[in-house]
Amino acid sequence: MAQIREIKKRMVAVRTIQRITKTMQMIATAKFTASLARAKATRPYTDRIRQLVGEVAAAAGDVSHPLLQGGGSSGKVLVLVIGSDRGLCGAYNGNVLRTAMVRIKALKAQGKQVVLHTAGKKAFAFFKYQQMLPEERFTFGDRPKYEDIQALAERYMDAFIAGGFEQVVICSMRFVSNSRQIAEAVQLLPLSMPQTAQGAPSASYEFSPGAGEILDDLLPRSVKVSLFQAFNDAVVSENVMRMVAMKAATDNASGLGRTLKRNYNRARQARITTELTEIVSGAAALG
Amino acid sequence: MATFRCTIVTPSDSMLDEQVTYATFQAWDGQKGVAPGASAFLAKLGTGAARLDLASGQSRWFVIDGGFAQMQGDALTLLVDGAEDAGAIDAVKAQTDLVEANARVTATNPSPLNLEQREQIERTQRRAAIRVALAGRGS
Repeated sequence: MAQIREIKKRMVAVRTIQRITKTMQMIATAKFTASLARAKATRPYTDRIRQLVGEVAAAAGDVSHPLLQGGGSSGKVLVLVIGSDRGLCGAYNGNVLRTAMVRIKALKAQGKQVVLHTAGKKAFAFFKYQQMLPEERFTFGDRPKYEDIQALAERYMDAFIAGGFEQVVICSMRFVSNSRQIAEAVQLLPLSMPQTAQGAPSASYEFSPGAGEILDDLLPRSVKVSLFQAFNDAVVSENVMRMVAMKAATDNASGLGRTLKRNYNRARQARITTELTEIVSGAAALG
Repeated sequence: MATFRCTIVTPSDSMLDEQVTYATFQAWDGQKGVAPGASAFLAKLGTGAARLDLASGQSRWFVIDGGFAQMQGDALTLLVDGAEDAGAIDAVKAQTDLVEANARVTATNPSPLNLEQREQIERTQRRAAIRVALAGRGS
């Protein structure tokens, strides 16, 4: 009897969990669709800016810009780790933080001093636990605004040009497709020129003002859109990974529920059989 | 009538993708017009108005705020930092914004503003004035 009651309690608990994970899966699906649409809407601008940087650089010839050169010899490298604010998103935070740790260790092995910035509560909590307290922490939420990211990028560029950092590295999750997201550490500064900059521009433009002046304006924009893209990709990846994790949890709960139901039926049948045997045995003894 | 493709793209959205017969917009050094068959150019944009004459005969007005205009092949792309459809501008709100922007320009600050801050305030004033001028000019 005690076993049956125990199984029944577990069945109720599993059903409740299944209901919660199913709801979370549906919420994650809705958020994923919205964030993917937002990320896709930012692509044309990002792609066009990058293409223009390559073409204008090729036309400008010998390019020299503070954002392309090394940021002094301070020995400091800024590492921005983009994690999530909430958990239950599978291996999302684990993969990003592992990639960040590998990069940080490599930088330290080169004798660099790492200055850590984090976005998202999970990344901050992880580094705090590792006793590597980040110098700054940000929370941009599910909808990072271009204005906010632009302000952050401007701060990084100013610090880099002033020689505060030799390098700025972003550790985040890149969204490739619904089934593929890659945790990577990408160098934001100094900027690396796109491949097209090596060859000839695809069209012979008339520049207004000159190619050099346009490039001076384009390069900071390129940094801003790269950072904005990283944040957008991170949000999309987080939502898709939470969606997959919650689907797996719902499926597991469903499987566990079936097993418990089978055990419950078996225990109930055993109890009925025992009771019948007792009745029959009692009747036989009286007769 | 000959047409060419015109797109307006902001960092967070694509605002327009239409066939147009003529486009005019605020470049860094003044107003610039583009007709079909224009040669390739890349120009810096200023803060001002953009008018696009659609193939249907209508015109659409936008407030644009810096960026680049790229003409390549038969396509004009306005990569703007910010854009607003004139039809969506609230005239009353635009007027209030202009009054505030004018007040900021003439206000005396306790500490002198640097060049960047001064430029930002003047740019906001310019944008506010254009928004008032274009308010309601949807099509």
